Amino acid sequence: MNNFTLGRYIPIDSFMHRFDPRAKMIAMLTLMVAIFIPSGFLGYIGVFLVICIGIYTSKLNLKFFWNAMKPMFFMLGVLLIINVLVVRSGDPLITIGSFSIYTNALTQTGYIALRLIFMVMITTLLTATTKPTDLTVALEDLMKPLKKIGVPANEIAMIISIALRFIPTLIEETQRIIKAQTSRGVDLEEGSIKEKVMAVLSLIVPLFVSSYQRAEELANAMEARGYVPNRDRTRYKQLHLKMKDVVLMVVCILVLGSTIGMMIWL
Amino acid sequence: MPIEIINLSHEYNAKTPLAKVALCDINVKISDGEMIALIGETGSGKSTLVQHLNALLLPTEGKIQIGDQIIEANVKSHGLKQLRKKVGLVFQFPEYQLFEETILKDIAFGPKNFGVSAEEAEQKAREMIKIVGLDENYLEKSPFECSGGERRRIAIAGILAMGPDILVLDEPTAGLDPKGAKDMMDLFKRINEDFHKTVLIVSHDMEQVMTYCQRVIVMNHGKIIEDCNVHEFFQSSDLLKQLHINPPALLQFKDLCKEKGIEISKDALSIEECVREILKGVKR
Repeated sequence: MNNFTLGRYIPIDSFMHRFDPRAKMIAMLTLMVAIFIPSGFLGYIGVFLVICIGIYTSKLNLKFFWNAMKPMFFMLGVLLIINVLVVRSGDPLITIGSFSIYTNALTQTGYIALRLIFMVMITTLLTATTKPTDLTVALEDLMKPLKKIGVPANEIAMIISIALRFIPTLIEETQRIIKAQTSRGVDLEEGSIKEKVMAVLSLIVPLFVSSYQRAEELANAMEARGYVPNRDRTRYKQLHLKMKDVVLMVVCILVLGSTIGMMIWL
Repeated sequence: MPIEIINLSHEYNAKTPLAKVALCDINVKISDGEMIALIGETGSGKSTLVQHLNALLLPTEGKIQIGDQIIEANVKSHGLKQLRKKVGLVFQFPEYQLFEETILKDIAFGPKNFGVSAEEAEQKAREMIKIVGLDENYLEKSPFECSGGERRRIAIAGILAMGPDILVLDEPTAGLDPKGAKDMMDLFKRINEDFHKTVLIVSHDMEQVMTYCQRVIVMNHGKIIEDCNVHEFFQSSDLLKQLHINPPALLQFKDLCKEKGIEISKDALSIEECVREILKGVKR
């Protein structure tokens, strides 16, 4: 459970860590859009360069990003197989009997693979350099304009921060229950399918029960301390946009602009 | 089934930057039929040690011998499942491990996992529910309808049904009301005396330790700092103060009596014995 990389915060101090979370989030969103604009491989090189600079300034280990991407490769493999079987355009590359692999199958898979890899890199960069609490604060701020049209920004942010807060607790709880059931003779690794289903059931039911209980207790505790969902709250930690945050956002918006330009004129 | 722990050490996250030594060079021998209290501050390694007895954690150094099963550091052990059948481990707040629809099924779950037939497991369940002091008509209820204390009894019945020779309990009375806690401790005493099972209890309650256990093992920072008979341990409050343990009320009472010049024998470890001693003194 501890080698779970995707979405984990790495508590070090780096140039990237010190950006305003709101700026980082906007930068991530614009880059995400840029990735999905079909601007050819040239555009991707531009996006890739920006990501590389980001990774370099974050002082994170490259292996960390590799680990975050690993779970995706299986999906990409399946995608490649489907594309090879289905896509029938472009030039035939290899022909075996009546079946041939077309170039478009490979380039299309390549595009999708690049997009996904970039996406994982960007999101990993964001979550690894920003504390979950900061992220929710940023989210709350960015959703403020949406409040006017009735989007419950505060509540959404609260829900997300509670969910994030309870991930480690639930992992701990799961490990505790695994141990308790193992000592009752549950074997999670060996056994027939029926035994395995039983084993998983013996984990999930207690986990659900205790989660519900926890949720109820938390709700009571929040109410006891006077929580009213849609009331405005002051914050202990105030966010201030600095010059470098503005620069970060401008650079990312420029990248997005240039990819759009490339799509139109190239 | 005797237990022998030899030079046991355990390190969490060994060989990583997060490495933390939890147990350091532990040596203990436990004979059949003992009733032992394991005490120590939070984080002193009690739970880690207890989990070794069930092979949920494996030693990073040293070895453990339970019956004829040997668990050694860096040696792959077999038959851990059999070991878990012989050593019943009741975790803290065991009521959270219940999951079946009926209590009967839940108590029978453990024995069934260890290859006991369904009928036999059910029969065991019927037997055990009475031993933990609940009525047989509970068996058809859902465990989630019961109160916290009842659920804990059910969980303990589930462990007892596996027929362990050694019963290990991690703070079994935490969060129970005084009567519930007393009933629980009486139950363990009965299991120890009537069924001749070795019982090891992790506890913070010195009164309980004094009244129910025969031997006390004190841990601190992953080491055993005291291992002696309960009479020796509660002889005077000096030893306890040295170990930063709050002496039980009875010892404090004896100290107060001593200040007033009433001597009570060091072996008097129950209120009745103390009263007798004081009466003797008064008559003289």
